[in-house]
Amino acid sequence: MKPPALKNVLYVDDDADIREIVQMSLSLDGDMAVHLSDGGERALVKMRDERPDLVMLDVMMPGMDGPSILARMRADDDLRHIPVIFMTAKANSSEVARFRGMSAIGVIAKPFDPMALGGQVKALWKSHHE
Amino acid sequence: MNDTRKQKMAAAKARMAELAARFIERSMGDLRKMRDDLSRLDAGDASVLAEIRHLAHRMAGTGATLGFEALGERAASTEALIDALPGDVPPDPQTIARLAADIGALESQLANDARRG
Repeated sequence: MKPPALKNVLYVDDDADIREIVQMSLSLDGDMAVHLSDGGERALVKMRDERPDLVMLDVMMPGMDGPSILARMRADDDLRHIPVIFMTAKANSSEVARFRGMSAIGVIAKPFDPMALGGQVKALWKSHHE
Repeated sequence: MNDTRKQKMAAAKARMAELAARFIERSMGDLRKMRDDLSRLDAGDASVLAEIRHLAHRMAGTGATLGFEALGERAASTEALIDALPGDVPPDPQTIARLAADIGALESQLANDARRG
């Protein structure tokens, strides 16, 4: 089955440079709209405003980290259905298993190749819908 | 590759070069902060470890993504050193000396990266 088009993504990270790089990377392919948030409650508000097809969360952020944001999403009737990909510098097998156990559809290791990120995200999106 | 993607790739590479230059500048300031924090740590203020760790974490992630792999690896090693410390005990003099050596290595690597442009 062909996956639905991935048109609207929210990327959450406290690092402004990484946010910009991710936005550029994902915009290289097609007409994907990439929204950004620096984290915390603002990320949850942005999800309600933008209704993204997919949320990408940095794991390690001050205040509310990525897993805590995912837990809040899964407890929220409006946000629980949104697929999540984690971005982390600690993408070892036990961490990946832990994040998958939290219902993340995938994990992308940091640092990432900015020219290849879009392909990685699309591949995870596709396998999520198979 | 179509022309639109080629143009986007060229624009992205140009912007990455600008971000890399900005990263070098910011990292110089971050290393100065880490040096100041180290002095406070040496004087017994263990609360600064969180800031050193945060700065090292940012340097590791952003640096490696922008192509500063060696700097990123060194910063990740500093972050790992702090992660391995027991959180409620001030670090011993050997650990502080190791942190000082790590920061010195980061300064050298950053100076090399800045010279390379």
